Amino acid sequence: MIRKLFKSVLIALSVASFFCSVPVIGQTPEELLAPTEERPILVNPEYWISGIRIFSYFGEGGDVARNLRDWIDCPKELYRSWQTASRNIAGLYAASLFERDNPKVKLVWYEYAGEAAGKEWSKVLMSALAAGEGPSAYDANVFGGVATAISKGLCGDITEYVKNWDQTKYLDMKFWAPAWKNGRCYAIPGQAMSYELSFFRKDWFEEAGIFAAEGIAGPPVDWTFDDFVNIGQKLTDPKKKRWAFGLPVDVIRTGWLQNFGGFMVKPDPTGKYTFRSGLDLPTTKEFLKFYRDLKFKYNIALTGTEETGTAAAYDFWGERTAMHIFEGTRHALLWGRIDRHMFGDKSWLDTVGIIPFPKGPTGLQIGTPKPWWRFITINPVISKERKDATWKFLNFILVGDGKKILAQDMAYALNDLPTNDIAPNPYHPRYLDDPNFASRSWKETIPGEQYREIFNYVESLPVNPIPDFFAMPIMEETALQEKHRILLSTLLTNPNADLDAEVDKVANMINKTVLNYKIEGQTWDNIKEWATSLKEFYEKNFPEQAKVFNEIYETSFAVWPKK
Amino acid sequence: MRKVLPLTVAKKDKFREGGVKFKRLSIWLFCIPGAVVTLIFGWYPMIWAMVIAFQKFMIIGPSKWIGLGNFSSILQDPILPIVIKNTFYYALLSIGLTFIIPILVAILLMEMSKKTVRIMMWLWFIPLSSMASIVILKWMYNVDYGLLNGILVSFGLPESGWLNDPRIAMLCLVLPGLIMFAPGLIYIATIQAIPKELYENAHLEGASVWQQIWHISLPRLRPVISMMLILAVISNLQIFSQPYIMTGGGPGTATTVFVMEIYSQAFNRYAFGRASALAIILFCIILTLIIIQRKFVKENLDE
Amino acid sequence: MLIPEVGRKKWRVRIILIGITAFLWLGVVLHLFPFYWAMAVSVTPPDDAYKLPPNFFPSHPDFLVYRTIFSHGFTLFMRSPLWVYVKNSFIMTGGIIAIQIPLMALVAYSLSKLISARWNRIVFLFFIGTMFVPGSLTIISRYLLLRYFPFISKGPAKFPTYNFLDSYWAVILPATFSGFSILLFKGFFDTIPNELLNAARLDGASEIGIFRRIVLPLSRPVFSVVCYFTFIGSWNNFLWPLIVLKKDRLMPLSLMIYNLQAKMETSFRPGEEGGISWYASNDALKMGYGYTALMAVAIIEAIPVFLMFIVFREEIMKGVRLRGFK
Repeated sequence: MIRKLFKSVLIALSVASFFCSVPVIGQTPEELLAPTEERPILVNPEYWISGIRIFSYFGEGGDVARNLRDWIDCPKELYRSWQTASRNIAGLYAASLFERDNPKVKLVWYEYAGEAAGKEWSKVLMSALAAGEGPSAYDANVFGGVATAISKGLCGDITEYVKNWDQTKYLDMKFWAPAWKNGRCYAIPGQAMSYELSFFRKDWFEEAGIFAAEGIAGPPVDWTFDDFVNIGQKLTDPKKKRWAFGLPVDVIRTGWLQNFGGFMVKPDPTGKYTFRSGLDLPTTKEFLKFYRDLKFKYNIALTGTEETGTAAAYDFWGERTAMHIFEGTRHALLWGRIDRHMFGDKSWLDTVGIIPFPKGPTGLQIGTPKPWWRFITINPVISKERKDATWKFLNFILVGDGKKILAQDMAYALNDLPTNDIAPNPYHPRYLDDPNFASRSWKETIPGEQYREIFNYVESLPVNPIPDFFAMPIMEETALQEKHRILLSTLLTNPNADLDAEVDKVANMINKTVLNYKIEGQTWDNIKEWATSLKEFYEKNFPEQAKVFNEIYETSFAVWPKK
Repeated sequence: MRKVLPLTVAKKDKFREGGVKFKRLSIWLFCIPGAVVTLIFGWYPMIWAMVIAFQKFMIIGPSKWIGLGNFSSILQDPILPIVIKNTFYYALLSIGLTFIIPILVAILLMEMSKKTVRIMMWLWFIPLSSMASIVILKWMYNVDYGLLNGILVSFGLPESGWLNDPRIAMLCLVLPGLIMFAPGLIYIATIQAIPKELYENAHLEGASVWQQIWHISLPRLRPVISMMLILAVISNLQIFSQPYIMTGGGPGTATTVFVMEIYSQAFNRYAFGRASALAIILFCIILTLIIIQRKFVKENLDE
Repeated sequence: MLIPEVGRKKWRVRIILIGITAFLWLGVVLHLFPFYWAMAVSVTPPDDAYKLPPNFFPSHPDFLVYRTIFSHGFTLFMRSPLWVYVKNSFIMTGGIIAIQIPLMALVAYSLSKLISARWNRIVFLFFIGTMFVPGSLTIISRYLLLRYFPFISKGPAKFPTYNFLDSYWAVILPATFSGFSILLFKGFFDTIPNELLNAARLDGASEIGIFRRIVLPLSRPVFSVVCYFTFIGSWNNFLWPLIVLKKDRLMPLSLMIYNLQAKMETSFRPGEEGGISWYASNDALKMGYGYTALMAVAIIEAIPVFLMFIVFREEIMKGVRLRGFK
């Protein structure tokens, strides 16, 4: 009898408890975030609270003009709003302006249940596309590269729109090439990359007594990887849970790889396929060996099977590592301007410095190639009307008035004048030609002489004029990365692994499953153009590396038919 | 208990005529909703999936027929033997640990006093939700902040890599499965049903403890064990969430299991035809195992 | 009993008994330890949580994390307050149980009692046949089926179709079929003696009446068992909701936990800042974001399973005794 009573009370309680509405226990966000004596204001409360309201109702958005994931529908469809603007009112304002000027168009949210951005989003998008629907415009890179997406038919043909476009003359064809196939265009640049740099903890370098020059804590700009190791050893202190660097296992740091002169893929010497895995090149192996030594020989790295790129970033922001690589879309220091107090009460400017990547064994220090883009494409299965509307909106938000509003908003957040480009923008927004639009160059927004010098130095580093694998896209980049992850996680967790054997094993896997294709209509001219330009680049700027490169040039790169 | 009326032959015949009609109608009534659901959500997707294993499934547009192309590309994939080995390794470990222990416990528990039995029956079989246990154990295995390394360090032992160590990563994965012991209740119930006299007689005849277990407890348990074994094999060969959440494939390929490979083919490479072909291969493997097991059990029963 | 009553007083036997008891208690401790540990971690203050060596008994229990989770502050971590996810889990599980159990019970009953031996095997195979197929085989087909119900196709067909995706039905409907339940039910119904039913038929009862009045009251145990296992199965269901659900307000608890711990380790691709926004991260850390919050949520996820066990334990024992295995 008592048991029955107990049971029914339990059931009733459990039913009742989850129907109770928020908040059951606790305070409102304002109360939780109110400054207290122990915790003074950390961020601007106005911005923060407006952010959290929008955050909770509309979902976490990206930042200004980031991955466009939205629906643009003509009349009779559901009403949704543009997701990327969710974090600021400016985006909503821009969206409503567009709707006012185009009464037949409604802008629509596209929500999805996943927070693991990128990883789950691609599955959701693919499922939607398979079912014949999906957003009107989306980032084509989520399918493992824009070339993969095009080959699977997931990108709409936009050649007609691009032909008469005024922005075409500003876009460098060499970087746009992956979005073209057989003379038809399928995607436009959506997002530009900033320079690849390393962040480091200035205060830790001061403590360790490492100075580049008088009063400037940090490594010298022309440091080598040996310097990196020495500095790392001084900074690592496992007792204090401090390491020099977080080594991700799921991405190969291309910035480091290229300074070793290594390549992830190389052209197929036999000509049967387009690519073979570049993991067995001697330069790549040298890089992998160094990567592994960081963990097992010098013991300065924090890594593990869960160490993804973002986990490595969290290690840095969580004060566990001294240095981190930043491959950002935004101006490297814009974040710092906004997040002034990332490390307690210390100003970002006092605690974080920037530095280019170290020089390779032969003195290679290559700059970031002119920023590569993520591509936006239009859904191929929607109607022509919707495609037109989408194209119009894309122009509005990337080039036209929408872009102006977003730039002004970003400036408002920075308490500054708007920048005329958020380093480096592939487009030429219209407001740049407006003499009344007060703005300044993004370079002027860089605080501090020292940072400006570093940026100038980074800009001055030589770059191969022709991007890697020019016009020969690597398909299924995600699958390739997965295989690289297998290799890296083996090397970084097993000190006794035989490097050559593991590399051969994974290279074999890659060659058999991921790179076992030949691009239709592959022309040797592209390979020739790229390989020759690479050779000349090395000979002109880095003669020591040219010697190393020439050894593998004949077998692995100069593989066009000799006439 | 309802009263059982005496049956006369005449009444039986008369009722049978009407009874048949009733029976037929009720068979249909009872079965139709279930049958509809089985058809729509059981057979239809299965057959369709088997069909696309022979196609190259295009996300947009019609699919191409390529016959055995998917199968041949799978069989050439160097990762297939690794994946099969990992899956069987996990299944063996899991069955070895989580299958045998409840049986042992059930047998031993019967020796305890009634009070202990009651307490143990509660405590041993409390289920911990598998998602929660995966997450909790993953944190316990954390190399820098996890509990287990903390314990090792405080005893002065060197830290272990746990999930990062290719040799023991698989072992670490099996532990969340130990949490669910509920099948043990079934064993206990079966053993409780065995009359005490059998044991006493055997003891009087001088049988040792092991002989008693072997000849009395186990035969009664055999049908239960074989049933649970089949289910355990089927579900262990198909695990996905433990390795996916805890290691994502493990250091190198140490914990990549079969369903993970299916998932990766389908959702990382968008090769659904190939994923279906992989699933068919898994199905064949499971079917073979079941058939073997059935034959084996039948032989034993006939002994 | 392996060890008869007579010999229990001997000291040798006593030692063995004590040894067995110790072993059993050790097993209990190991078994329950993660749960206890999760509770301990969730009440340690965020700063202490990362310290080693770990203390098993937190000196200053700080329920900050629980306050954060139950309040609107939870939207720092996920998009909706916690009760939304809990509600979703309950709705999905409840829906599955409500639909699956009656359907499968009826099928099992007719398989065991009503269908003659001639057809029995075929019909049995019909219902059980798909059980052995790995679920991963049918992910895409079930997905497309739900999108263009009742057809599996890639685009709109000539017939009107209904989109079940992104709703509770997308999770509930495919789970309405479960061969495992049929097996359990059938095993139990087989043990109900036919004479009972024949007697009732003699009395003139209809089949439905028989089922309702005779079989159901007898089969409370097996219904509890099936309910229990179905509850556990669908409560932990993680992969399927991951694929079919897009809206955040429909996510069940298991999926939410996965997302929460994935937020901490998002795969990083150039240009992609995954996870929690940088603006929130520092404050979030101070508020207990991190593994303390994860442990707390894991406990919340585990509690209903635990409760179900308490409620249904007796029935399970009964159901198990009366059930026969073939």
